[in-house]
Amino acid sequence: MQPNNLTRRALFAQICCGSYLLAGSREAKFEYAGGTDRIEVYRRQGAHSAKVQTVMSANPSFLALDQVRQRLFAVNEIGEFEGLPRGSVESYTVSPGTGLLTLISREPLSLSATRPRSLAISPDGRFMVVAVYGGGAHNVLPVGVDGQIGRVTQVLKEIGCGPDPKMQATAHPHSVVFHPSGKFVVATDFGCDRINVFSFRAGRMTKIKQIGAPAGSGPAEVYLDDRGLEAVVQHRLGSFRARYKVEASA
Amino acid sequence: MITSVGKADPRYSELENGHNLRWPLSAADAPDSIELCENAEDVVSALQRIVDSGRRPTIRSGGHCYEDFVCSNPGGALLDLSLLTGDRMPQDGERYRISAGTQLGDAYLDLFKLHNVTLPGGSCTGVGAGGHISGGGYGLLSRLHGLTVDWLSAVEIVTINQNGKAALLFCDKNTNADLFRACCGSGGGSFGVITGFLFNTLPRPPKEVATGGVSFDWAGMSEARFVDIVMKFGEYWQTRGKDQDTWGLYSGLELSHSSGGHFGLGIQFCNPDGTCGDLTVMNEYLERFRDCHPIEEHVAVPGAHIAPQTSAKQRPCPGLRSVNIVPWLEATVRGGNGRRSRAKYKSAYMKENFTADEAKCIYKHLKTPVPGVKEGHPILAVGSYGGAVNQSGRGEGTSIAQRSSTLKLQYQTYWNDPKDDAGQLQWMSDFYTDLYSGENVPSRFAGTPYPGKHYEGCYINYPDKDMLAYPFWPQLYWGDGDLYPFLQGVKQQYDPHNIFHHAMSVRPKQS
Repeated sequence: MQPNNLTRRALFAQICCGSYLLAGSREAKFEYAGGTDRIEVYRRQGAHSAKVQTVMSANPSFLALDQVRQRLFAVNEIGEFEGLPRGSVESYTVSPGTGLLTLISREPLSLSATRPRSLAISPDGRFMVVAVYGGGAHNVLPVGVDGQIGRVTQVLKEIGCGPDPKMQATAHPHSVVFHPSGKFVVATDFGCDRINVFSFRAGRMTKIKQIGAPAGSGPAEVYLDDRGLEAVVQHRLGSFRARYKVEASA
Repeated sequence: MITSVGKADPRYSELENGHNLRWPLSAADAPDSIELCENAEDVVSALQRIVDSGRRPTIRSGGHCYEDFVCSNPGGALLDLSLLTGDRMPQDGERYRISAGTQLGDAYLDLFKLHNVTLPGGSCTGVGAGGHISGGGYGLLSRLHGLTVDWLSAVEIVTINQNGKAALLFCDKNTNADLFRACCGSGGGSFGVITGFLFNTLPRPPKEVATGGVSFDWAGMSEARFVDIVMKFGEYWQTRGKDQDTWGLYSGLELSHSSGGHFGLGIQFCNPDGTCGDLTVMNEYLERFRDCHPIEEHVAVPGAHIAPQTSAKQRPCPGLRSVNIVPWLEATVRGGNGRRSRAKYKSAYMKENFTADEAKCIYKHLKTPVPGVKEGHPILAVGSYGGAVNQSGRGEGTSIAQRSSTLKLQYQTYWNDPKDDAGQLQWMSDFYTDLYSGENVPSRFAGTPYPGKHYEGCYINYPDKDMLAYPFWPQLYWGDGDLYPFLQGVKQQYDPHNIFHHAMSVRPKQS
């Protein structure tokens, strides 16, 4: 499938396009698309894109580009890794001139952290927070200066449910975003109709606030405004977009 | 009262390990805290606190889990139930109640002294009731009286509901019936925290048992003689051992590695009426091995993990100085724990006798030096099975899929030095994979005792994470019928958030 609809929004540049998700580099010169079993690299030429690399990867359904450090991170949205019920995450180097990817590391998530949906990299590049849709949890993992992902250092289980018995039987953390200060994380829970705000200090998340979203709305993708005061949330079940005051004073 | 032991507490380093010192695998895998509870109310409070803080609970009663399902819980909380031992009767006063933290030896003593009944449970007296009974509860009296869960009438269990609230549930065949069935043998750590087991009736223990055995010298042990011994053993349980008058006979063929110098054939016997006045069945059994050149030394007495002392109450069996008749209680509570060490285990159920090829394969691996290993005590313990366990109707309402086997195999090896880990694990893996890759296993299930005509899978209380390499691992432990889907349904209903999980717990249908 030919990816389209590129975005130049930094860090949270994710657009769903069929089974593909895209991350655009700052110059939008290269495009990265995750498919069910691969990441494809495209070079943009005028209005068209040409595929320049295919990297095999297990359902990399979400990609995040760290443009400062020239790295690409992927969640592997899978239910089992190495025989255990858990997903995994990957890091790649992005070659500056060519945009080509080289795998740095693949790291398992915590036990029962199945089907991760998205991730966010802290502004200092040292930590990764993963929204675990299937297992209903968040995982924190350190990222080394070399891009190597370390083992999970924190697991935070989410509990709850929503009115849709099929889609919201349990918590389903969907998206995460770092506050520009790096001191807060804002996350959506599709299953519980919740926006969660966590403090983030020394690599540890602590929940400080839960904001209720309309019942049955299924909050999903989240973006913060430039000052980090408001969260813009796409509600997938309700098919609407709403703004929430984060009020996380840095 | 809940006693919370964090990593800075001087008690932590003692409490962080169970019996298998391989776990936690590393300091990073250890739980943040150990929560010692004294009663069911403590369990509800502690569990609520753990869940509210977003941590993962793991559960320990006696601490004998073979794998890392309990002690490896990075950042989580280990709920320790070992102080939950108050076996008060429910208000109607007519049932027997065993708390989850009760050690089997204490349960046997109390049930005997107060009521002259017993559980047909395991011989390691330090094992906790919580895990043991959750996985079925099998022991030396199981051929005579079935599994412990065959007698179970009700369970008290703390679960976490859809709203994340901890609550103590009562379940029996009328109330929360599906959860009750799931608690009857599917293994611990999948649905909630069992705090107590209730039994309306329990069997009378034997008055006395004949206990002892013979052994065989590895020196001069030819392959042919080894095969003969192994097949004579297996043949008995497939044939004569099915007759009800033999159900009081338990026997274990303790196939120690050749480096140990000898291997044993242990027995514990009583007639179905619990007496040893007539030893015909036992003598007939031992007679089968006469031309295998048994010796009456180095005897592995079933259940006696500490070398038995001569007792003033014992009397010798006529013609056999290595078998003695002792009061049942004495034979039962002398078992210990064995010492704590590093260990690895595997298991298999067999419906039929060993084939000659299987016996040869066992011979080969028991003669193979364990490579690069300085120490260790590898053993394949083959226990007699069946009898009342396989009695028609027994399995109904339980979560034990294996009701046709006549042999139950436990692979064990013990060592102390972490440097020996790789060699020990490899030796056992090679042995197991080789043995279960023969003509009795369809090629797609090679390497496992997949349930079929010859084998009947594995025992969840002897869990083996190596089996996770096979996508059909649940079928090894819970059979290839409708039991596992049933258990997944119970999981969805009673633990919708999958709070209770470990590597081999029942998994949510969609994960």
